[in-house]
Amino acid sequence: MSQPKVQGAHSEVWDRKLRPIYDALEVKNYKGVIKLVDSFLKKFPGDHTARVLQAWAQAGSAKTSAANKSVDAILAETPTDLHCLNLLESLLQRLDRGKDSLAAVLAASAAHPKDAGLLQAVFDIHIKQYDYAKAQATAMRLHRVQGAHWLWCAITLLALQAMTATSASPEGKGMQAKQLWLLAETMLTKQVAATPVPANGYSEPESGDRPKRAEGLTQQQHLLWILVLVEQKKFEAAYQTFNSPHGGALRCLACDRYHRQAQFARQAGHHAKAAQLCYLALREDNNNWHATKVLLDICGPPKDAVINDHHDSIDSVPLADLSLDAACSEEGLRVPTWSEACSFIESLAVVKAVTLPQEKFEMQDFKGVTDGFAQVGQSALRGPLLARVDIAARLSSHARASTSQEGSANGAFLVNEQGCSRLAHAIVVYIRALGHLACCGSDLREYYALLSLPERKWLAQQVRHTIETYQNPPMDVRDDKEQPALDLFVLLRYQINLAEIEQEIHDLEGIDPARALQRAIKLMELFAGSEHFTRDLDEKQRGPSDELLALAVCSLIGAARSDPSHGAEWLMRAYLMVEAAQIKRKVSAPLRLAATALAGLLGAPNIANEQFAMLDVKHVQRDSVEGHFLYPLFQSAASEPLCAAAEQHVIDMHNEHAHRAATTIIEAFNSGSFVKAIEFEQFRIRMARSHTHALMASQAAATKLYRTGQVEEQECDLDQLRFNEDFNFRPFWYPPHHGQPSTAAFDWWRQLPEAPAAAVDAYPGGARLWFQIPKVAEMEHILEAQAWRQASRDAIRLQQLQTRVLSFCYAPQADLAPLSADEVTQLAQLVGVPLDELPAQCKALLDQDQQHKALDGKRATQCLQAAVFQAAHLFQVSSAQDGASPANQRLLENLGLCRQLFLALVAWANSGLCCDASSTSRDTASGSSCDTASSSSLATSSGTEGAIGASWGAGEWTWAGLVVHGAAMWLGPCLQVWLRQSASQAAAQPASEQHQSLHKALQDLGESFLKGIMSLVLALGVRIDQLNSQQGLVSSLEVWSGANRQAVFTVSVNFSH
Amino acid sequence: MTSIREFTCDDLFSFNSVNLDYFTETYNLSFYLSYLAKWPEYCLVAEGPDGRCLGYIIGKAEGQGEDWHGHVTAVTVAPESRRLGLARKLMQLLEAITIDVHNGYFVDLFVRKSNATAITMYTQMGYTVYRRVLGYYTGSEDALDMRKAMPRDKDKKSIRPLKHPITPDQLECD
Repeated sequence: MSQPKVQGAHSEVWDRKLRPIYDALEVKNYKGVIKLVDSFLKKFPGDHTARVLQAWAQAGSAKTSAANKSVDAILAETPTDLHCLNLLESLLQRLDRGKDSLAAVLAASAAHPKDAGLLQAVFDIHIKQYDYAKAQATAMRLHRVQGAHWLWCAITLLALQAMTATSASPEGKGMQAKQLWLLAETMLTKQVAATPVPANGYSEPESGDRPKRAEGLTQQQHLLWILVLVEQKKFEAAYQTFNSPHGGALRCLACDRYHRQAQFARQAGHHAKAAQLCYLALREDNNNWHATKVLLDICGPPKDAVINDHHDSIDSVPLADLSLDAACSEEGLRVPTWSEACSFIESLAVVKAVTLPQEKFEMQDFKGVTDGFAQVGQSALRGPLLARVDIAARLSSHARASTSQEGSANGAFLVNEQGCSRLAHAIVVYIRALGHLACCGSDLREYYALLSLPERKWLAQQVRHTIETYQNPPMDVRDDKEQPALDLFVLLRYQINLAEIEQEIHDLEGIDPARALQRAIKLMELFAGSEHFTRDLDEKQRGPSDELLALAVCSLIGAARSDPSHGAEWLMRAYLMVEAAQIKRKVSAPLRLAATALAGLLGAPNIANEQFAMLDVKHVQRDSVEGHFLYPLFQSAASEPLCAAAEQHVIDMHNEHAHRAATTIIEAFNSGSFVKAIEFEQFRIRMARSHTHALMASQAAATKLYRTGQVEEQECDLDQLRFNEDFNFRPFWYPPHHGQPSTAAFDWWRQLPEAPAAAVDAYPGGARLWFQIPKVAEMEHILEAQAWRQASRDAIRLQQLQTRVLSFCYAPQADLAPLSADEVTQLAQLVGVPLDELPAQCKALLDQDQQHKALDGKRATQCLQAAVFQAAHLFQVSSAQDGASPANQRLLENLGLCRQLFLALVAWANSGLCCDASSTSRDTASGSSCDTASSSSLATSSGTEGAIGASWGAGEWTWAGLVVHGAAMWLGPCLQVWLRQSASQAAAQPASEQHQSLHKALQDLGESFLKGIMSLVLALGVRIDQLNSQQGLVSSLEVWSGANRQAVFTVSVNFSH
Repeated sequence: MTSIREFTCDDLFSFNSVNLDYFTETYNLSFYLSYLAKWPEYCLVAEGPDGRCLGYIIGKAEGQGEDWHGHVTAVTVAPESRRLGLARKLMQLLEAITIDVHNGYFVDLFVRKSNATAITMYTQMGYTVYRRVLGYYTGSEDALDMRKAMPRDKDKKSIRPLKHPITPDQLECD
């Protein structure tokens, strides 16, 4: 039956009568829909749209077979109406017959081969299936019907195919990719040649919000051109496109056009031209950091640069003498010398007519800061002055490299007679000139890391001197009415910079707890004293001294490092301090993040969650923020509801994007954003391979197995994982965790005393921790990032393998592929103990006298996990066999071993907390002893109530709480599986003697485990139960022993000012 | 010191130094991708010396006839990078694109009536209040629709203020 044509007045009737059907469908009145369609079909017999709506109603009322039948009948008639086909496509998706929609659209298009709408529907479906070859063929057909736009689409699709071919098999399909790129270039070249050179430079709206295509190449077409050339490493050609008549298409990229062009020029070997472009870019905007870097890269410091360089060069280069002008002129184009480049960059501030601070610091140096010269002037200083720091840093690195190569003392060039390096000197100048800017600290942090301890001390001394001079100017200056008055804001900012530098020094030297506390108090007093600056500030705005809060927390964490036996107390002080600060800074993200981490590490996941919730993290931030920051804290605390919610957030977000990704690519094609279409495809792949998503999916599958016994297939290529984590905002003291999220808090406590040493080894002063580098998660050359990625992969792999082992227990009859020998070995390695050595090691551990006291927590956890794993492995083997077997015998032994280990762990952990109130000493393997009661007051008040808290420290709390939490996350589900399996086996078949033993062993183990967990939860009770803020001034925290709800100690902080 | 470049999808993973701030809304992925697909030239990022995202602007071209204009959908700067003129610079670039690429009559933006800091900055940049939109924001806060005429609007007709406030359903382009 052919579809009746509906046109003109007829169409209006058709539309009007169809509307009530849509309305009924929208409110899920399916009976009403069917009735209305019957009536409609009497007027428009066989109408496809109405029948599709009827099928929708059938599907909606769970009459799936009827819906399928209706759909089959419609498909057999080859509907060609686009609207109807769109409806049909949605319905087919719902009926899980997505492939039929392609067939339907193809059939419609075959019936009307010149119908552009149908062709585009075919194109869209190919894109939705990510079949770029077929989409390209369709684009070529569309090109014949609808014009040049589709040819550009076809070129883009060729590029997409080439990229896919390269990534799928970089070697095998290299030739295919090469051919695809060449074909794209050929088509592109023809298309560029056929495009008229633009007469005017803009587009105007033709209708609606879609601009009319202007003559000449669009920006996106030009960028596609460049992309095709660059992917083939044709940098010369890419560079030349800027000079083509179509180069104007890139005018909307004016901001980084010079930089891009310079990059290509450099890659093509035109260093002089690249330098000239940077020169032009910097002339236009002296803050263009890309151009600064490229220029310095090109001109590079020569070997003798350090010797020939002088501090005073900035003042000695008159603008008129700049030889770079000559070097970069069209006539005498050459690569500028290092000296010329440096002089040029430094002179940019002069070009902007801004007074620079003098080398020899005097009161007049403040003039620029305090006389309120325009913001433009201030920011104009930033680029050149930071460039000066960067130049000094390059010279410093250069000299160090020379020193290490020649084994000589060339490093001496770095430091002048006052013990000041050029780099430190440049930093001082920067701070004096721009220390009042909030960004000063972050601008310089990278460079602090390059300074040695003596250099830092010199730097701190200079800043201190700056402050003193500023506070107490010489008499002649004081009497000079022309001199600026003391500006308290500037003074405050200098003090903050000094505090930051001192923090760096403490990172290197360490800090004793008493000094750390004093320092934190001092910083908080400074913060409190600066509050008047925020009087007119919206409370949601960042305050001028907010960095002090972060520095104070760092100081207290430093104390915890020095005094790990009281680590928990130091952290609680830090938490309370942050909480007190939040009275004034309710929405400060750094404070919320610090509070989240502190609460999580203190075993209060709900409070961590509440703190984090205030940040309103959502959508893509689930992937880049929440997964690495919050989730491990939930896992460490074994908070299943919070973990499940976090997992669901991430999975939902990814599912939503996976569902919408193709639509965004189609949108890019429709808008003529060809390069964006490629970018969206790469983004889709990156999202699909997200590490966070893989981790959450793996954990969710495991949880599902434990809870419901349902086995979920997991497909995840761990080698292809992408790491979308953004670590940039993490506090210095809360580095990303390596490995299983469930041990994150545990490991943080365990590594606490080692942290400063590790940081100093890796990065001098810890000023530039690896995770503070923007976009570091995927950086190849950062060793720590590599190690983190590998540990992250291993964590997922371990989870997957464990889940697979356990899935055999749940569904032994299911058609599950057994673990290969390699996988078993891999599992044992990931657990950390070689399979063969395990039983002997565990037994040896248990054979020791008073093993619960001698047990090393990490080792115990490892052995416990390994023993459980081996038991699981053996259970897998034995479940495939009937009756008595050696494997079953070994399983029994291992279960017994697990039980003993676990009980030992419980006893050991309990011993850490059950010393009575009057106890003054306690012997543990770590040698820590019970201290006298100590005050937990940060500033003025409070003390210890009860005595158990006095014996707390990182060691006890860590082992007692976190080890068991970590083990519980792993062991609990295993036991649940075994118990369930054992029970079902016992019920299903006459129990052999060995089966009965097995069942008994499992029950014993399970009961011990559950009782142990319960007793530990009660005994440990280490929770932040109460957080009070009174009148906005005092925060207090009471920590309770779980069993009798008796307060073990109270911490409070007075934050009045 | 700061480099301005086009906004890319990967920036969505690293813009948290900006978006964790209270004043900056994080939208769903479709929102950002739709802007990048339709108006890539209007989406720019300010990048710090170490590659850190310091701020960004997202905008679009819309309207018909003499209402054809550039619209600032979002402009935001990380807290520690404020007062450096970054927002101003991003706004100037959007204006330049409106003139050079789209030849729009004006640029407009919506701002919370209570956001005095932003209103002052826009005023200094030549924006004036065209109209008030009642209850535009969540929590029923009014928005000020501020406009700046571009060279194409020689008579500055586009920025003559309306006498009466409007409601969100009366907006032309939403």
